Amino acid sequence: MSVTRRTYFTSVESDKDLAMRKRLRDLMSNMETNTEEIENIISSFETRLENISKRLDSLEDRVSRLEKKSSLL
Amino acid sequence: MATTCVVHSYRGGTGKSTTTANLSVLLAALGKKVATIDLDITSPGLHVIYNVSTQTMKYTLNDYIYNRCAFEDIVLELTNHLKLPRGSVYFLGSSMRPEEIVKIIREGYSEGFFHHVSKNLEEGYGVDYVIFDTHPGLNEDTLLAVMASDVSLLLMRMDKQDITGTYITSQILKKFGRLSYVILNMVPPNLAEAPDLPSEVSGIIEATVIGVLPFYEEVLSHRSRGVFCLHHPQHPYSSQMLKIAKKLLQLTSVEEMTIDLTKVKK
Repeated sequence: MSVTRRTYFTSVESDKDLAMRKRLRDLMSNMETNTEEIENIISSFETRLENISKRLDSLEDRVSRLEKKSSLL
Repeated sequence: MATTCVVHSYRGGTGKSTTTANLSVLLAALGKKVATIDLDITSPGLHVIYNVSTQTMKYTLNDYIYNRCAFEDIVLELTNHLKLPRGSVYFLGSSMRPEEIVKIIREGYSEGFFHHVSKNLEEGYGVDYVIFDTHPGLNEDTLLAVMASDVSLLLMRMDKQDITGTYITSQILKKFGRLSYVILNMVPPNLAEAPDLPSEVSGIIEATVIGVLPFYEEVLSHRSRGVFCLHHPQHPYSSQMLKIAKKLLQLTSVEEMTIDLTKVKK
């Protein structure tokens, strides 16, 4: 049984493939990621999500109280 | 020409395979021919959701890569198996055998592989959509699949780890000019109802949110024992997923329409 990997493409396409891999590796190696900045962005987003969640909880409480009042009427 | 989509997430357990399986049957229900490919080479499992036994899946992508079979041998048509009234679903699976997994991890795929598979599926089977279910994270093979595809569907939960990782992923995709859309999955029910949630997430990830899937106990309890939408077509999850399928059709069709309009103007 053959254990040779299948060749899908010509040498030109093979060069393209290698170039794509190199481009990907180079891009990721040179990203200069600022982790502190990312943490600040995410924290700010989390705060906004928390506010959205609190607003929804508050709305639910009000709806619940209104429903109780109207059931008493 | 077939539209290639990659379903990706930064972290595991976000529901990529479940989304891939459900999206495929719903696109078929909308009249499309869909091929799904299990590229989660270290932990393949899409065949489990489709209820395809390892006996039925005689040959896998691993066999094809190592010249052990022809392309037709790895393409399983699941249309009748899934009892789909319209469209078609084809499936190309990966091996669960550890010795095969270790080999493919060591040697990887190539970017040419994705084009080759998509081209064969389009020419041989006339598929409209090719959906790659990928391994999570920022590994080279997965990112190659993303770069080789027309559309990326980024799946994330409303979890700080997912949000952080998806943000980083989106920065990489932006540098490559890849078109990506976000699907929010397993969203806590109260947050899922927030009307400004999609715009808030779009603002930070810089990609359009095309679907918000709340957390449903029933989907969890289903435990991958089949494609959820087929078992529970009336469930809200199935309705939401159908909206996502229609949105995906619309988004990929608009691009085609834009090309057609350009031809008309000339």
